[in-house]
Amino acid sequence: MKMGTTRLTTIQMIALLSSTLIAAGIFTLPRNLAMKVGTPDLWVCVLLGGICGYLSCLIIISLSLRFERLTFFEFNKLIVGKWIGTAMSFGFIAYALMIGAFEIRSMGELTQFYLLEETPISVILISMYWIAIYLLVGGINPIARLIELLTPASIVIFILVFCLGLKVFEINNLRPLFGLGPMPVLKGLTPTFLTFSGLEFLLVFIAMMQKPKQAKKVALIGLGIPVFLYLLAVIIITGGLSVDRMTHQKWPTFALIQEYEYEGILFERFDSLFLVVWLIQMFTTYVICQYVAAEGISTLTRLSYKKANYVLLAVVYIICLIPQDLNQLEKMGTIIGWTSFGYSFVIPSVLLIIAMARRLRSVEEEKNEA
Amino acid sequence: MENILAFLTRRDVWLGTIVIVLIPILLTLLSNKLKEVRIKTYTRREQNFISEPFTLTTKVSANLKQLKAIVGDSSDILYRQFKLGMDNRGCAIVHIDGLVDQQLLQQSILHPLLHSKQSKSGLNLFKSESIKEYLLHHAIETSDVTAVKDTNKLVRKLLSGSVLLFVDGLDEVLVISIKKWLSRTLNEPITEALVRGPRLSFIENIRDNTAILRRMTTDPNLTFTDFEVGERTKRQLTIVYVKDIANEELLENVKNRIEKMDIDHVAESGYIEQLIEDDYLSIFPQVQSTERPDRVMGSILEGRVAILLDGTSYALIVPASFSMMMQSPEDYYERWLPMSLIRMLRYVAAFLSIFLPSFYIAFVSFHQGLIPTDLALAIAGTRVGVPFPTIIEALLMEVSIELLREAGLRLPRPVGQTVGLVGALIIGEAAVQAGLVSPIMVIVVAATAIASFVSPHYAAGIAQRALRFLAMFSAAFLGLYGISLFFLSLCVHAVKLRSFGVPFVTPGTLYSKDDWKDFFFRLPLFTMRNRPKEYFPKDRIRRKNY
Amino acid sequence: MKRKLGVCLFALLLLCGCWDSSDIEDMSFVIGFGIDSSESEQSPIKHTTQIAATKKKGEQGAAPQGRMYQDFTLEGRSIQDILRALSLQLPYPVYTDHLESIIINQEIASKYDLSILLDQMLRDNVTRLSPLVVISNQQASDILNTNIDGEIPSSYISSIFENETSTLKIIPGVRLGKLAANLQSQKSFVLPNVKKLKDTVMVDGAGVVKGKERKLVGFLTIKEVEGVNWLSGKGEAGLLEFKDERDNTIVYEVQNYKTKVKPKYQNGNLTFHVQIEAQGWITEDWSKSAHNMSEHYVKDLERLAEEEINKLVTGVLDKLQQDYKTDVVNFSDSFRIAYPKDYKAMKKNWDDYFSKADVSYHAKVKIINTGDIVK
Repeated sequence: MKMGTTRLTTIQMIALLSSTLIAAGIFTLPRNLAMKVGTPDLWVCVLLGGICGYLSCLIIISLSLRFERLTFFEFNKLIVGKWIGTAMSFGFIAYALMIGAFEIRSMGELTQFYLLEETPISVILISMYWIAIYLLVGGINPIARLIELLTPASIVIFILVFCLGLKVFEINNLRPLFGLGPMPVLKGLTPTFLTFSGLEFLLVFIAMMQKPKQAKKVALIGLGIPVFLYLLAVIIITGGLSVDRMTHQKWPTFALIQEYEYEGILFERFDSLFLVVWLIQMFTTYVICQYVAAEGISTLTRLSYKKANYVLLAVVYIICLIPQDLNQLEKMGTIIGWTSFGYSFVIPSVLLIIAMARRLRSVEEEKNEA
Repeated sequence: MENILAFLTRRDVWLGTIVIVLIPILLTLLSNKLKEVRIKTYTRREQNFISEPFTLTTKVSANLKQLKAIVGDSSDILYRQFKLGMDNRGCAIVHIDGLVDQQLLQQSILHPLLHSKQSKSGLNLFKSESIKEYLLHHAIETSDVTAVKDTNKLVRKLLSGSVLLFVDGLDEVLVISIKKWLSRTLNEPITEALVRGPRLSFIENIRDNTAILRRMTTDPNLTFTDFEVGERTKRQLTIVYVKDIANEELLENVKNRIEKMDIDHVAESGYIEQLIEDDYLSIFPQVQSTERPDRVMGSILEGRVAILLDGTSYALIVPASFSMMMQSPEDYYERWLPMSLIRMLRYVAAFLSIFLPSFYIAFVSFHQGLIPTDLALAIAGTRVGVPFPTIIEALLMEVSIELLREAGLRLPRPVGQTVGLVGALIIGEAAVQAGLVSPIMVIVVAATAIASFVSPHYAAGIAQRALRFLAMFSAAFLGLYGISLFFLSLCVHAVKLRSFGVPFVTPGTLYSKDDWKDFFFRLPLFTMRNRPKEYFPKDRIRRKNY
Repeated sequence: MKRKLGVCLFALLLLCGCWDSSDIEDMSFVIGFGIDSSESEQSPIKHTTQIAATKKKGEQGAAPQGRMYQDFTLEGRSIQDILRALSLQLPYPVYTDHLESIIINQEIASKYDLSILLDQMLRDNVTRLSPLVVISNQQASDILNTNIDGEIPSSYISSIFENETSTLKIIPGVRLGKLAANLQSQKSFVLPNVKKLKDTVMVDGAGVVKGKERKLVGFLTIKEVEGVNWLSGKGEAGLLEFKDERDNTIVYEVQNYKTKVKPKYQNGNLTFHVQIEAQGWITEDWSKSAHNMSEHYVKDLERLAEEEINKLVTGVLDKLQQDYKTDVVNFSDSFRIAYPKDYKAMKKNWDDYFSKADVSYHAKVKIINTGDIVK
C-alpha cells in the first residue's frame, strides 16, 4: 500500500463541490428570490435551479471524461484550436478570479456591517487573504483536506441555526403554492442559477480525481447538499418572515436569526455564530476559485503555480475593491451569474458537440499516478 | 470609465496591493531560509575517538598494553591476569567495574577457566583455532560470547560493559556479555497516570524496555532494529515495529532519518524527536512521546513505529496525528459509552483551553451586543474600576497562572502543590480586591487552566497553552473575526503539516466507514475491525469476523 | 509559519491598535426608548432614553440599592440628533444593542407616520430587530419612570409579554422587525397599550394602527383584545369568563384553540366565515350546581361559552369594521391563500374591502375536563 496520494478522493470532491456552491448566496439569495418571484413559491425555484445545475453538471462531466486526466485549460485547445482555446481559458481564469473577489468582498462587507464597524475593510480583507495564500501555496491536497474538515461542521451549524428558526415558522406564509401560476417561478430561476455558479470548476477538478468514473455521484451529492441547504434556508426564512418582509430586509437570513432569541442560553443571539461559520465557508470558496485560476495560469504560461498565486493575489485584491458600494457589488454578482451560465452551460455544450462531431477523445495515458 | 481611472489612482489600493503580496512573499522566503538552516550539513571532519586501531597479536601482554594506551588508566577498568587451569597459558580478563555481574563472572568464567582440566575434547590446544573452540564450547558457561577481531569494536564493547578475555596464542578476543548495573525498579508512569490500566512504565534501561514489550506478545513479527546514535557517545537506539503491519515506506523513512541524524550526544529521546520531525517551526508535536508500554504496543499494532532510546524512559511513536493528541489508552480500557463522552469532553476542553479567554475578550471589548443583556450588565458592573483594557487584564491573569504552574513544577513536591493552590487563591482574590481584574476574568482564567489540564498528552497541552496567547492577541485585534481567522489559520497549518509523510490531520477519517468510530467517539471494540487507514498499514484487518 | 503569523499580528496590534475595541464598562447600555410629542414647534419630538445603571463596586451579590436606571428626556427634531445630544450629558457613548422596548405615546403616534418615527432604529445596524414596541395613552417618559423594585421598567414591560400563554387579554408582543415589515407592506396591526399604575406597569388593551396611513387610529379595550385574539387565532391559551343564566361566574380555561377563516369572493362580494374551535377545562364554577358531571350540564356550559365567544367577537368586529376600518385580525392572509390573484389587486385597499365584508362566525367549545372535584 502506497502512502498518500496526490489525487482527490471522491469524498474530498463532494466536499469541494458543495463548499464552492455554498457561499455568499445564503445571504443574498432569499431577498433576490423574493424580489423576483414575489409569491411564496421561492423554494420551487431553488429545486428547479438545482435540477438545471445537475443537468449542466452532466454535460461538463461527459465532456471531461472524454479527455481523461486533462483539465479544461488543456483540452479546450484540442477541441477548438490553440487561439480560441487560450482565450477561453483566460476568460475562465478571469471569471474564477471574479467569483473569488466577490466572495471575499461580500465577506468583508458583512463582517464590517455586523461585527467590526470601525475597522477599515482593507484590514479585514488583507488578513483573510494572507491566510488564504498560506493555504494556497500548499497545493490542492491541503485545500481538499481543509474543506473536508470544515464542511461538515458548517453544515451542522447551518442546519442547527435554521432548525431553531422553526420557532417562528408559520406554514401560512408558504401558502398558496403556484397562486399566481408558474410564471413567477420561472422569473426566479435567474437568481438561483447565479447562486449555483461554481459548478464549472468541475471542468478542472474532474481531471484530478482518483476515480473520475464517480464524477456523476460527486455531482449528485455535491450539488444535492447545497440544494438541500438552500432549500431549507429559503423555506424556513419564508415561513418565518413571509415574502413581503423578505423583500424589505437587507439580509433576510440575519433578520430570521434575530427574530428568534432563545433566552437563557449563553449564546442568546445566534447570528454571530452563524456569521463566523459562514465567513469560513466564503473563505473556502475563495480559495477554490483562486486555486483554479492559479492552476490555469501555470498551465498556460511559464509561471510556476506558486508564483502565479502571488501574482493573482494582487489581482484579486484589486478586483474586490472595484465595487464602490453594495449595489455595485450586487451588480458584480449578476455579471458573475451570467458568465457562470456561459461557462457552465453554453461553452461545455458547444465543446461537447464539437468534440462529438470530430470524434475527439484523449489518448489514454496510464500513468498510474494514483 | 472615469470611476475606474479614479479607482486605479487611489493610493490606498496600491499600498494595500503591495502589502498584501509583499508580506506573504517575505514570510515564505524567511521560512524557506529557516528550513534550509536545519538541512544544511556541517562538513565535519571525520572524527576518530579511538586514536589508532591496533592489530591484535597472539601475545596477551602486548595486547593489553595497546588497549591501555587507548582507554587510558581509568580507575574503573580492571585488568586481571591469570593462567589457564589446564596448561598454564597466560590469560587476562578486562572489564569495567560496576557494569558487570561480579558473581556471574566469578562462577561462570573465572572459576571454569582457572579450574579447567584437560577435557575429553581431544583438541590439540596448541593450535589457536582449537583453543578458541575449547573456550567457546567447553569452558565458558555464559550464553552471550563472541569472538571479535576489530579493535574499535572491542573498545566500544568494553566500555559498554562487556568482559574481554585475552588468551595467549589467540589473535582474537572473546567478548563475554554479562552486563549488570544498577537500574531503577519498574514504576508507575508519573506523567501519564491512569485510573485503570497497567501500572507499568518504561525505565532507563533499553534492554528492560524491549523485554517489557516482548513480554506483551509472542508475535514473531514484532521486530527490534538497533542503531547507534551520537557520534561520540554511541547510544543504543531501537526501533520497534510489527513487520507485517507497518508500512515499508514509513519504515524506510524512519530509518533514513535516524541514520542521517548528526549529533554527538543524545541525552534524551526529545533530541531525537526534534532532529527527525518534519517541521521544526510548527507548534504541534509531530512525534508522540510516551512512558507507557501499553500505549507503544497499541500504536505499533496500528502500523506505527516506536523508537526507544537507551537512557531514557520516554519512547517515541511516529507518525503522530491530531487525533492521537486526544486519545488516552484508558479510552479502550473502560466501557465505550462513558469513554465516548469523556473523549468528546476532551475535545471541548481543548477548544476551551485555547479559545475561552479570547472569546471573553472578543465579547467584552468588541461585541457587547452578542451577550444576553443581564450578563452584559453584570460584566460591566464587575469591570467598573478596572483600569486596564480586557486584553491586558487577561494577559495579567494568564501569565500569573503560567508562572504558578511553572513554579509548582520546580519546587519540591509537597511545597509545590501548596504554592500552586495558595498562590492561585491569593493572587486571584487579591487582584480582585485591589481592583486589578474583574471576578469574571478570574473565573475565565481558572476554567481555562482546568481545561488545559484535561489534555491526555503533555506536549499537546504545552502547545495549547502557547496557542491560547496567540488567540488572545487575535481576539484583541479583530474580535470574533480575529478569532475565526486564528481558527482558520490553525486549521490551515494543521492541514499542511505532515508527520513522516502522513498528513497530520486526516479528515477523511470522519467519512471513512471504519475510522470515524475512533475519532470523536470511541465505539465498542468489536466495531473496530480494521486498523486506521491514517497510517497506511500493510494489513488492514484486525479481526476477520466477530 | 504559525508563530511568525502571530508575531506579525502582534506587531500590527501594537502599530495600529484595534479600531473597534471599547470596553464594556465604558458604554451606556440603552434599555428603553420613549417617544412623546412636545409642545414646542421647534422640536416636536420628546425622546426619553433609559440607560441601565451599572452596579457600583462593592455591591456585588447584595440586593441592589437605589435605582437601576437613569432616564434622559430631550427634545429635538430627529431621533438621531437627540441620541447624539445625549453625549453632552453622558460620560460614555450610548449603545443601543440591548434595547428592550420602545414606548410610543398615543399623541405622537397618531400625528406622525410610524415608519418615520422608527426610521432611525430600523436603519441602525447596531439596534437589533428584537425590541418590543408598545403604545401608551400616557406619557412615555412617565411610564419609563415607574418605580419598580429592582427592575428596569423597559425590561419589565418586555417580560410581561412572556405571559401570553396564560391569558388571552394580551396580544402577542410586537417586535421591531415584525412592525417594520407590517409598516412597509402597509398592513394594519395592533400594538399593545401600556399604562402606569402606582408602582408597576400594566398592559391595558391595544392601539390600532392603520396600515395605509401608518398612524394610530384608536384603541381597543381588554375585552376587545380578547375578541381580536379569538378572531386571529394568534393567542396561545388563556381564560374565558362567562355567566350562566343565573348570573353565576364560570371560568373556562382554554388549553388551545384554532381559528379557521374561510373567505369567499364572488361578484365583488367578500364574505368570511370564521370557525373557532376551543378545547379546555372548567377551572372555576360559582354556580353551586350539583351535577357537574352530567352530560347535559357540560353541554350547557359549552353553549354558554360559545355564546360568550360570539359576543366578544361581535363586539370587536363591529368596532374594527365600522369605526376603525382596519383589518388587524389578519383575514388578509387567508384571503391571500385562497385568492392569490385577486388579492394582488386588492392589496392596496384591503382595509376598505375588509370593512365592507360580511363576516359570519361560529364558535365550538369543547370541555374535556371539569376539574378534580365531583360535586
